[in-house]
Amino acid sequence: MLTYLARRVTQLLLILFVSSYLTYILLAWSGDPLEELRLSSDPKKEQTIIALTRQLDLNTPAPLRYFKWMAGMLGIFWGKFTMGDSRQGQDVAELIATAIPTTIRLVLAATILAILVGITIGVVTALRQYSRFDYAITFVSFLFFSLPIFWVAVLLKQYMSISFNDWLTEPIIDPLWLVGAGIVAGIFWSGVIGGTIQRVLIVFGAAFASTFGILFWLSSTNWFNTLSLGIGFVVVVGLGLAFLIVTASTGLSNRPALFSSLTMVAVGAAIYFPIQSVLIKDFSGWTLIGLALATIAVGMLAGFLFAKEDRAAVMRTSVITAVVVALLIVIDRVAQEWVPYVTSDFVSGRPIPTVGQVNDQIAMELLENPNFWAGSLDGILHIILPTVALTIGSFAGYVRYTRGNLLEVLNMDYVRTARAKGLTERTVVMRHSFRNALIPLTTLMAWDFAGLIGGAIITESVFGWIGMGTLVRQALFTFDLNLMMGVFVITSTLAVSANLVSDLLYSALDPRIRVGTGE
Amino acid sequence: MFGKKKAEVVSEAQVSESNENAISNKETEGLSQGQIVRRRFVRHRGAMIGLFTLITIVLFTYSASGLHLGNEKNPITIPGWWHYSINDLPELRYGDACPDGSTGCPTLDLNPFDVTPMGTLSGLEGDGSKVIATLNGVNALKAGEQVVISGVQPEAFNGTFTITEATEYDFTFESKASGTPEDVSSATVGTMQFGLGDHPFGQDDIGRDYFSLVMRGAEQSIMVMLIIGFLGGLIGTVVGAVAGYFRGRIDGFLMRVVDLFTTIPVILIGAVIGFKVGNLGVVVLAIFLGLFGWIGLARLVRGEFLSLREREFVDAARVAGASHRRIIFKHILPNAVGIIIVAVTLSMSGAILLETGLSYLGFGVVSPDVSLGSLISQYQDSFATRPWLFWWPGLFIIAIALCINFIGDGLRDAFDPRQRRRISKKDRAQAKLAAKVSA
Repeated sequence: MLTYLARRVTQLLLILFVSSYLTYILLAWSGDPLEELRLSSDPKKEQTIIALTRQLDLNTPAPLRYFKWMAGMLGIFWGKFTMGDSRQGQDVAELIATAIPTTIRLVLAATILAILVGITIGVVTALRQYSRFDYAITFVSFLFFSLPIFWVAVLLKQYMSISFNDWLTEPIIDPLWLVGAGIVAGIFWSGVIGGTIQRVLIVFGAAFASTFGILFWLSSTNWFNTLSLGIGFVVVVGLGLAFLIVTASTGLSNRPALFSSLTMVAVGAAIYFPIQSVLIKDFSGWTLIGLALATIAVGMLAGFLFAKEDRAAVMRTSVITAVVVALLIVIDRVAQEWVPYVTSDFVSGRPIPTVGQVNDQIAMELLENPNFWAGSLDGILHIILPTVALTIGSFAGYVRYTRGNLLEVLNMDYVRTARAKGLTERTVVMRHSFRNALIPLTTLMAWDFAGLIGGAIITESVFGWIGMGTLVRQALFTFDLNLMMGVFVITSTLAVSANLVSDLLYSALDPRIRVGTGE
Repeated sequence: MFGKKKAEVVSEAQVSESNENAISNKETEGLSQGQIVRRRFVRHRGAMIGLFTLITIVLFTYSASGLHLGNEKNPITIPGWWHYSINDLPELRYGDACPDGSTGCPTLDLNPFDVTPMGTLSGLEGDGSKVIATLNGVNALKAGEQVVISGVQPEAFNGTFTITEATEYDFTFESKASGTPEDVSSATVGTMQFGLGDHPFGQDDIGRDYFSLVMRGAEQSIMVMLIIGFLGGLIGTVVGAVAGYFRGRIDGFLMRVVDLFTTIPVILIGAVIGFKVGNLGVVVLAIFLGLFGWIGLARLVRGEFLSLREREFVDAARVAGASHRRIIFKHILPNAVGIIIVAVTLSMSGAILLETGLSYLGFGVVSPDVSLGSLISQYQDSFATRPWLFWWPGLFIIAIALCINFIGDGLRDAFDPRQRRRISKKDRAQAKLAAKVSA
């Protein structure tokens, strides 16, 4: 294993070296950084040209200049690490260090959302193969696959931001929209649940009525202006999700699992008021991590105490419920900042921005009196549009992959065996098939993550985020080699390591594949 | 979602499995592999709709602006059916003809009963056979057209009339009304024009016909897509075949090259290429992009060749004395053609998005030439005031990519031997009947 790892890493380093060399030459060939200056009529242009030539070391031919750059990179081993200076004389390493978190935040949010939604929908379409729901989702995912992200972005800005903000000044849902939303929800849920005509009609009716009712109630109580959730939200939604989680994980017939999950909701409700004094404005990330660990511990403890047999499954279920309930409390806490945020002078009732990554004025204000939750809300509101745009791009891949893989696994002999020995359909699907169908997805995830960084170039440019993509554009337009290479090193290293990790993960998850025994 | 389905599933599966096998076998009896694939493809509804739509789009766009072949000295031009080219500068529609003070609005009208406003009246004179109407602004109406006039006092002057004469600012029509019209201050003129009109997709900032621009852009994008698909497919197949067939050092070398290219983000390569050769025209850009677009396919083909070369029929060919070339092209390639076609099709939908993305960023097709991506990039800020400048190029991108994706899906299903058609109730009933009859 270790030798395999060592060999792979050496190989990757070599590939990175060669590809960075090629890229360097390719980029040097792409244009002359002084061309614009030469054409200018600036009287001082001679001096500028000489200065830039010296600064960028243009007298050294590119194939040799690369090694100077490389020496700077290798300086990491003797403490003189440098990625060179950009055209404007800024330190490239510093520029990149500020850009990376932005891009990672963007890409990570989109990847996680796409994985969660995509896999869930993919599983449902596989279980409902050849149903109308399956065909509809196939069509939608092909449509998403064909959408240019910059085109979607413009639509999102118009309808999810500008129109939505307009609507927020008087947030009353039109009756026609209420009926429309109800019908869509009805069709969706009856498609998901399926079954006989009678059942489809019942599900349709229930989904229609509940969607219509909830939206009507929210609209008539002016809820969208206050976004107040409160303990009621935590309890009601928590109970609903607890039942859902238990159904998918162990089944409602497993009483210990159900009881321990319900206990988690009860604990959430009990600590709702006391915990508010912990979730103060001056809240740090460390406290959050501590609370997360505490949540998991409580979940495990409850599962351990309730379970009589099959302890792992019960504990798993109750931990998932505990985390979900904790998330609900956090969501509620963030939502409490909604009213002061929206009514503040810098937002003036238009909470969803079309461009930018933070509201600068809000950020200034937060510097003076820190408020973790208001900052989070600001960040969330700014990331919504880009995340939706990126998610639409990669959602389709996950749906199609999950569906295909799960269908393949469901046709395997061991699934037939599992059914034949009398396991419930849920155990067959969730434990025997779903987990195995997920294995090939690790490869897709690695590819997708690397590809999304490329996609981020467009997304950042559309939404005015200042990340790696912005640096790439800037570098390409000004022929800034050092800056470009800096970005390249990061993206290619990320892509290569994502690939390596996915290979290792693959072999860890699938015992049939062994690494180190030749490819 | 899970519930009590277990029992049904098992019993149904057991009962129907042999049945379904019989039905599938019956269908493929006595057919060659090619015939089976073709049959399955034709039966795939989504793929057929996609194929038909794509062919329509290609014919439509290429015939609209005509074909431009040859070089600059001896151009060979086959004229298209659309009366504007991207270099024409017709007068920009503005004023009353367009809503909300926008300019260059589209004339496309698909509702035969709706009145398209053409302007307001400043004067209405005469009666009987010669009523002269003067417009506030330029008159775009021509003799023989139908106009709808409303809002004039007395009522008798309102209605639908045929224009007998038209000048730059006024037009003449016949009316049965007598007397002098009293008040024209709130009068409007409209047409019942149904169909494309002069500028179905509107006009851009300087008045160029947007329909011809979109057609040109679609042409460019389709061309890029085909070239990238063809070149990438060719190189990818050859590299993958050679690597997979010969294995050993060649394989090691080629696969390291593949690894190398995977470390460089496609959009980065595309941007550099676009920057360098974007001004040389779209064909050169597409060729360069195609030279880098074979990586994924090479991996796929290599994998397929690695497994196919171990099969008995290859051994048989080798024993019979076939050369390497013959084995690769005559024996293995036909068996791998399925995944190649599917991968190439899907890479083509990626190619059109790549090209439009690059042009959007300003690295692809450069002005004065246009592509669908550069059109969107140019007019994205006009979305609120002139949405048609944004919708049309986008809809063409989506339509083309969507068609390609559906065709790819159909091909995948057709080539996949494990894929079985959904057995409908009708098939099942027929099979049962057939079984009864034979018994």
